[in-house]
Amino acid sequence: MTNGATESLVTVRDLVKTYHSDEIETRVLKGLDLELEGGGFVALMGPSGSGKSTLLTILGTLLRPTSGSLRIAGEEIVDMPEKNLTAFRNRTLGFVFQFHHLLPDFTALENVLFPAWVAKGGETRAARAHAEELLARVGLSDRARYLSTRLSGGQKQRVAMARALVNRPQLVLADEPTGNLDRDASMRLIDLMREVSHEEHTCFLISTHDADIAARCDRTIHIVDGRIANV
Amino acid sequence: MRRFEIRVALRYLRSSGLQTLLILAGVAIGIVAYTFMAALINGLAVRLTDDVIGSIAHVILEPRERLPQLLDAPDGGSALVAIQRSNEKRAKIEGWRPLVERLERLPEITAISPQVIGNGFFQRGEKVLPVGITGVEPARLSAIIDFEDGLVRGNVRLGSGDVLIGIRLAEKLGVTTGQRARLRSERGRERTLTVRGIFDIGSANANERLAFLDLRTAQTLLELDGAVTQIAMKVSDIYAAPRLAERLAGDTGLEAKDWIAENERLKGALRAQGTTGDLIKVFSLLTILIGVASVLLLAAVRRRGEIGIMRSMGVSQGSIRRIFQLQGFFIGLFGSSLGALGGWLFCRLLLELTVQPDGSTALPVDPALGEYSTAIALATACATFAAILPARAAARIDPVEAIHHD
Ligand SMILES: Nc1ncnc2c1ncn2[C@@H]1O[C@H](COP(=O)(O)OP(=O)(O)O)[C@@H](O)[C@H]1O
Ligand SMILES: [Mg+2]
Repeated sequence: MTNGATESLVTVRDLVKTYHSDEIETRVLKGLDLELEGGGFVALMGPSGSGKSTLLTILGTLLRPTSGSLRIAGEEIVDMPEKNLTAFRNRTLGFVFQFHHLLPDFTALENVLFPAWVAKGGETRAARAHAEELLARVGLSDRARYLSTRLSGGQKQRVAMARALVNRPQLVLADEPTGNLDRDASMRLIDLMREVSHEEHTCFLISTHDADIAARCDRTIHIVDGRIANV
Repeated sequence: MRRFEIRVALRYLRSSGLQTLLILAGVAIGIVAYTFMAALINGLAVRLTDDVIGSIAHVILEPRERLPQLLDAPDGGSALVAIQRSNEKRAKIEGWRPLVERLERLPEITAISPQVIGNGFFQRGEKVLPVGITGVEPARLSAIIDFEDGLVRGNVRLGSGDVLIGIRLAEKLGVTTGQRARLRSERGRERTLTVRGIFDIGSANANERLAFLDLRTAQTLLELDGAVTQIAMKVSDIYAAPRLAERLAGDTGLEAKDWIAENERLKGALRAQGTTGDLIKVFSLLTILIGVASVLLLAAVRRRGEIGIMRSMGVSQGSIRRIFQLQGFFIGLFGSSLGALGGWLFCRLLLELTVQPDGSTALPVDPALGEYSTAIALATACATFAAILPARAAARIDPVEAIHHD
C-alpha cells in the first residue's frame, strides 16, 4: 500500500483559499506548499484562526481551494467532479472532528461500520468483523451495542477514530480531536492513533494547539501567515 | 437505491419516536377519512343502484317509432324481425320467439322476458282504478322482478285468467287472493280475473299501479294477436348495459334502451355523491402531503450536522436525497396501511353500532368497498412526492458549514 518513493501521499502546491462573506474577503491560505508521506504521523500547529481547519477541509476534499493544486494518493483532486470525490473520500480518507462526533441514532458498532456500508452498499461479514476488531483495538468492545449518545467524550472520539479507519484509508484527517477531552483521554487517544498509524501505515494529520500532543508526533508543521513554516 | 439508505431512513424514523408517531397518526387519520368516505359513497351507490336495478330491466328492446330502415335496405336479409305499425298506431314485435331464443344464448344476458305492456282499468263495484298491464310468460314471471321475494299473499303460479297485483291496489280494490276483479283494457276488451297473488316490491307506484297477467291473457285483452310489445332483459354486468343495448339495436333493428339512460336521476345522484367523495379524498391526501413535507423539512434542518458527517464519510448527495425520500415513502406506506386498517375497523364498528333489530343496517357503509389498496397506493405516492423538496434541501446542505457551524 505504500506509494513509490517518487510520489508523496499528499502533494499541495501554491494552495490559496480566500473566503468571501458579506463583502469581506478573508485570505486564509496564501500559496501553501506541503508534502505528506504515506504512514506519517504529523501534527499541524498554528494559532486559532490560522487556517488549520481550512487546510484539513481542503485536504478532506470537502472544500475546494481558490487556486493551487492538490494530489492525494495519485489523484488530482481540484478538478475532480463531486461524484468521484464522494467515492474517493469514502475509500481514501478518514475524518475525526472535534464536534459532531458520531451519528446519534446508531450504536458504536454501527457508527464504525457506517463508512463500510457506504462503500459496499450494505453490511458485509468482513466489514463487521473488521469493525469489531477496531472497536476492540480502541478498547470499546463492551460498548459496541451502546447508542453513541451514551458514550463519554473520550469514548466517542475513540469510536470516531475506529470509524475513520474502517475502510483502511491512506490518510486520516483529525481536526483538534482532543479539543474537548481531558488530559488523560487526550493522551490515550493520541497514543492509540500513533500505534495504528505505525502498524497500518496510515498517515495521520492532526491539528492541535497542544505542544505535548505535537511532541508525540513524528513531525510537526506550523501554519504561519497562510503558509507552512519551517517544514 | 442502496441497502444502507433504507437502513438509515428506517432508523431515523424509529429514533424520532414521537414525531414519527404523530405523522403516522396524521397519515392514518387522513386514510381513515379516505377509506370511510369510499366505503360510504360506494356503499350508497350500490344500495341506490341495487334498489333501482333489482326491480327493473337492464335492457329493453322495443319496436322503433318508425319502420326500421333495415326493411328498406337493399340486402335487408339480416332483418330478423318484422315490425308493423298497426293502423291504430301501435308498434309491436312479431315473430319474437326466434329472437328471444337467440338472445338467450348470449352469455351477458342473464334473464329475458318477452312482454306485452298496455293500460286498463280495474272495476269492482263502484271503484274504477287505472293500472298498467304487463303480460309475461308464466315461466319467466320472475325474470325481471323477484316476485317470490316480494310475495305477500297467495302464490306466483300465473295461469290463464289470473292476475298478480300490488298490495296497495289490493287494498284499494278491497280484494284478496282467490277473489275476482274485472279488468277493462284500453282496447275496450274486458275479462274477469282471479287474484292469484299479492306482492310488495318496494315501490309505492308499482304496488298501486301494476298488474301482471299471463302473456296470452294480456295479448287477448290488448288485441295483440301473438305479438309482444317489448323484450326485457337482465345482464350480468349492469355497467356494460349501454354497450350491449347499442349492439342489440344494431343487430335487431329494434330500439334498445338501457337502464342507465332511463335513470338519469340516479346517474346524477351517483355522480354528485362521487364528486363529494372525491373532494374529501383529495383533501385527505393534501393534508398528508403537507404534513409529510413539513415534518421532513424540519428533520432535514435538525439533522444538518449528521448530514455533514455522512457526507464526510463519502455518502453522496444522491444517497442523502434517497434517505429522505425513503422516509417519506415509509411514512406514507406505514401510515396509510394503519389508516386502511383503521378505516375498515371504523366502518365495521359503525355498522355494529347502527344495526337494526331486523339485522339490516341503517348506514349504507360497505366496509368491503373502502378502496383500501388505492388509498394506500395514493397516500404512499403522495408522501413520497411530499419528500421531494425536503430531500433536495437535505442533499444540498453544505457539509463544511454543517460540520463547522453547529
Ligand atoms: N466559511 C467561512 N467564511 C468566512 N470566513 C471563514 C470561513 N471559515 C473560516 N473562516 C475564517 O478563516 C480563518 C481560518 O479559519 P480556520 O481554518 O477555522 O482556522 P483554525 O482552524 O486554524 O482556527 C478564520 O479567520 C475564520 O474566521
Ligand atoms: Mg479549527
